[in-house]
Amino acid sequence: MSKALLAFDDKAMLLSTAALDMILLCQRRGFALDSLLKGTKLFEQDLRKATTKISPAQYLQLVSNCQKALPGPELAYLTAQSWLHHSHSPLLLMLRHSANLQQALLSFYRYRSQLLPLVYIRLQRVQGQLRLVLRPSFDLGKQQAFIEQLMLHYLLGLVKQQLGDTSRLSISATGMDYETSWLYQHQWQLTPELCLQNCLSLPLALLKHPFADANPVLWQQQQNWCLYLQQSIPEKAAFTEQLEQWLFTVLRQSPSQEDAARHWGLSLSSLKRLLALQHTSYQQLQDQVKACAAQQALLVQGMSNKTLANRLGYSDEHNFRRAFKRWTGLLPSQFRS
Amino acid sequence: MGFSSQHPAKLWLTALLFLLCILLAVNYGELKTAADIDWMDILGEGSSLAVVLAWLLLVLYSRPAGPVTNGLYVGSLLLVLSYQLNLLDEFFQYPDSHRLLSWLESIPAPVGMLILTLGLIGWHKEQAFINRQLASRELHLRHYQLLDPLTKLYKPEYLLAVLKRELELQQQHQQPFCLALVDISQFSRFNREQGMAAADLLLQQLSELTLLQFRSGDLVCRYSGDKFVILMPQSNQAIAQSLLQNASRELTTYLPTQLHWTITEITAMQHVTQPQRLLSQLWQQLQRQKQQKTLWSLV
Repeated sequence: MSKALLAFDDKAMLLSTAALDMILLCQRRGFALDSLLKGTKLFEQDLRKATTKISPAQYLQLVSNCQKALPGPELAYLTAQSWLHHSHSPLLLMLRHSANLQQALLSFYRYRSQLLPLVYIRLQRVQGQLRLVLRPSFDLGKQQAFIEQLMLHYLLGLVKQQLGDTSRLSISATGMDYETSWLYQHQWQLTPELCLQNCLSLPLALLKHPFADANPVLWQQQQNWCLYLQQSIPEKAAFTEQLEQWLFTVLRQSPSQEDAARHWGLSLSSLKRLLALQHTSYQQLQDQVKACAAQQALLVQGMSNKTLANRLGYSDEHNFRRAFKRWTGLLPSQFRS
Repeated sequence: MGFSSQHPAKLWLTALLFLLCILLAVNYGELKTAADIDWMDILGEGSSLAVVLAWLLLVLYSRPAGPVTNGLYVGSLLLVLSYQLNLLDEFFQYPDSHRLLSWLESIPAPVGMLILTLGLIGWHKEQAFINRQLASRELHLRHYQLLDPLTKLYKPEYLLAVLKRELELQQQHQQPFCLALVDISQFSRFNREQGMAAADLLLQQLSELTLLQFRSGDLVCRYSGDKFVILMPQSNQAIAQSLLQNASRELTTYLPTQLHWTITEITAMQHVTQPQRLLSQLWQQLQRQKQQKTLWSLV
């Protein structure tokens, strides 16, 4: 395996970076700390320590408690805002002082376990645009929407903070209620489109625009801190994430479950058990990966169903059409139009 | 805040008296045989006990300490004790020589009812006072789910409901009303330099101070982030403008901030049917105005 495995109850996240701001902003809105910490096995003293680590399971419980206190899309937006103004997380400071968006995204990719290792960003290039597709690393349950919104708001905020405006960006989302799209319209002047994954698209040219707060000295300083922190928070990735990444690379061969188990050096039953722990199955993951890839290919004009079927490892285009309908509820032709 | 942290002594006293009653009954009484027990009575009396116990816990859970809470608590405590003894005597037979338990059973109930009623009268007075205090925050409608938890002002959904009503009323009295969208200048910079906790505090202070600057019939709502909407019934643009100028002057003396605002006057002649569109017009105007860097504008 390429990276160490991040388990659901692995204490591998820093409370002070990932969740403290969210708890404090709920507290400032009049909610009692004991109800916000309920079921997380955390105490008030833990919040004061800079080194308290929590597991993904504890983080999801915290999110669920905070969402109960502040239902609606505003919590994700406010938490992202607090990240943007964070003054002591090396990674967040490093992103702010990056030379440009490209460096910021690379830094995020490298040290993301110090912020939120629950989603990962998949980059897709489509006709002069870069699509940042958000994929969950775990079964995030009801909190998935919150976490993905949080990431989107943070990325949008970073672009707005450093490059001045967000008008050249566009947002696609799996499904959005009225309140969420209202928030996007008012805070970012963007209207989200419906899509299969939550993603942010930006022109490739924007990657090289210099950041307002670019500062190579500070960036280097913060990177040193990140490297230092990596000793206590090693880089880890969830199994489903690593399997998905591998599936993207071997899309054309369409490997079977047995092939996957062999590749990862696991027995078939171990593979099934690991996936069942994440409430998913091999077939489900493969479908999601193919749907994601098919969508990217369909956005590039001129790709016929036949070429696509070949790329995704289908024997003919009819099978592909049927599978696409199963994933999305639409035929490829309807999706194109 | 749980009730154990708010009223620990009251909770302990309730538990203690509850236990004491059971001990008294066990000590003086003899257990009835199964044939003597009337299960229908137990059902009736048991459910009354459960209901008054729920009242007592709700009072402790939802109310801060004070004379009204004390009245409601003592009243419901006496009722609980009386109903509890009432229930216990379905299980225990007391000898005729012991009158204590039957007194304890019958006397506290009417006294408790009386104290509870006095407590309710106090609560009614308190509520009337709070209503007056709230009058500047709400207009004709109360909906706690639409309150913004940070500033305790109403959210835009509430504003839309009030605006709709105002538009309907306008068809009858034909008087204009004004709507203003207010925005804090350089709020994101403040946020960045001072941190989010300071920015939240600023929003709280600003909303409290803004409420003081407007008339009792006006409605101040939090629109989103650092934007507020003020509805001023039965006023024209000149009145609204002078109110806002005053408010802005007052606020800048107390808080490290400056306001931008845009005002629109709605007359019966305009036949506005979609309040939502009014707000988005104001929003766009404010965006334009911020680009031109002017402090205020009239639409």
